[in-house]
Amino acid sequence: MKNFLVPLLLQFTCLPFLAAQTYEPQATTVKKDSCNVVITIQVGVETDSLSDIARIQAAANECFAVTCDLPCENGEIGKCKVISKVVVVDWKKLSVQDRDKFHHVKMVPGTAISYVDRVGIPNHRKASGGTWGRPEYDPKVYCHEIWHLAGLPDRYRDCRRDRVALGVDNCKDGKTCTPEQIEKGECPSCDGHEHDCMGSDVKKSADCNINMMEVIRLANDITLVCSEECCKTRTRLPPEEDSNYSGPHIGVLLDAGVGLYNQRHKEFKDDKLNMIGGAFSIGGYGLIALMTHIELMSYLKLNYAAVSKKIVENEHNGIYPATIEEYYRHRFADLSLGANLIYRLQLLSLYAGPEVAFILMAKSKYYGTYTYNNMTSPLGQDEWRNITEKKNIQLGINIGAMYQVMLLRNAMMLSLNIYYPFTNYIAYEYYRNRLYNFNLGLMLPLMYTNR
Amino acid sequence: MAQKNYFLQVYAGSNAPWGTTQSLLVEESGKTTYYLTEVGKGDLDTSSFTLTKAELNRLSETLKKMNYYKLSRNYNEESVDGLRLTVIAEKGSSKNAVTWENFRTKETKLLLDNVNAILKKRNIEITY
Repeated sequence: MKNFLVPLLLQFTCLPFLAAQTYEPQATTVKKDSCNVVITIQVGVETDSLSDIARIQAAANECFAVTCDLPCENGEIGKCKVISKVVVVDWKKLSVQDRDKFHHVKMVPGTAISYVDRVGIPNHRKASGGTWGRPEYDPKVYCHEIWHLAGLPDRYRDCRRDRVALGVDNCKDGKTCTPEQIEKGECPSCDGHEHDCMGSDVKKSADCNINMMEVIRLANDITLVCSEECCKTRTRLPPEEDSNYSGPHIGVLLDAGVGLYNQRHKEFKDDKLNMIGGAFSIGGYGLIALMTHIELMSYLKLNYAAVSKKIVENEHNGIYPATIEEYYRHRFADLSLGANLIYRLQLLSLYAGPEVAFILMAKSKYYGTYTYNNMTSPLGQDEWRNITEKKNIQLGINIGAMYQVMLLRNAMMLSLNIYYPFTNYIAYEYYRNRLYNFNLGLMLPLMYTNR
Repeated sequence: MAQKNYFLQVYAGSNAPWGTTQSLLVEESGKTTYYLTEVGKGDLDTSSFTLTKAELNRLSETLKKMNYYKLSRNYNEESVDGLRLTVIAEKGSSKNAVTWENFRTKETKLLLDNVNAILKKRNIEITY
């Protein structure tokens, strides 16, 4: 059964992560995601140095981490946000079909000044591209170029001699450069762009009201507004309306609760041990929507359980009473892979799914005292030992409920989970043993991907 | 900026709001001024000299060879940032202003080869 189930479960659990790697259909995409508007810029970098990709992604992550409010028609702030993200990948690793979905950037060594082939057009099939220098005078130059790919033009007045001689008016406002500006070869920002990255100083951050909104306007899509529904004053939205939890996303999950260990000899029913303790897990998950109200979540997590048992027995051995005090301590660790099918009912969700656990560690300690006639002698040894050298694989099922809560304007899920194992945790020949879990959990979404 | 009767103006350098630009301004008399300017910081280097008649003729011949007065005004103007080369020339009734942005042609090579050959003894090289 394990031979059949494990590969099947592996494939099943990979689905959300595979889905998370799908790309937007255009190199610059602006679209609604529930209440929010998401600006996605996909850049394929052709380079002989993979560090370029990491460097550009790092620069972009810093510049595009800004989340802005998308105001309602009346100017008030509702539930809508503008989220921007940049996907930087190795051009050579993209399939031929996917290349059309990316701006194609070639990296050149030396002190070349980066440029883009043309300003991008949001939601347009035709991607742009460019040639970027390595290194640039500042990493934020890459952000400036990415904003060009997103659709933004430069917003500075070029007061260098040639532009003045040609009468070029970049700002298209009829204003001219002062003699001092010409003398210094200045490029002052156009009016209203003094504080954003498309003006004179590319090291500045993008401005929510100017840069982000301009990209949305350029997308020329009347649906890219904060809808009436999202503008209603509510502290919490149903999951369908709250983008924080809609659409594929990945995140972190944390669990803590009670672990119950049960061990029983297969033949001698009295030879049994029940232990209780703490159980903790940390891991990552991916989630995709399969259909309305139905979602699939897969996860990989590291589990740790510490259970113990104290047994005190009094007996008469001859004429004197005897007391046996025994301590059992077990420590377990495993890596588990699972998938849950989630049925969403507004803020509450119910779920169930299989889980396979690869046992990493099973240690135990047994010690105590034997007291007879006021004479005490030790039992066992107060040191950890591996229970068995043979690693086991455990199969089980999770069943539980989740409830969405808002914390710091982010939707998170609190869960109540019961884990029921079908197979032994420890590879004992004569003992049937199970490790049950009863946990409270928290799911923190980290990154949203395309719907 | 006071307008002078320049026979040839060559600007090469940054097309972005940072970096440097080289400017070569040649008057009809041969009087020439060269500037190396950094955006917002002004001139890093300037020099003035006079071109000989032979050098002026060479420049005229070069413009003729590259069919300069019939070139388009812009090459690759869609591109943003990077580098640009702007050449403005006027002789008699012929006048043109051509900008190449992140784009090199045989005309740009011909021009820069000849301009740099003339400027070599002044320790100046226009790069694009």
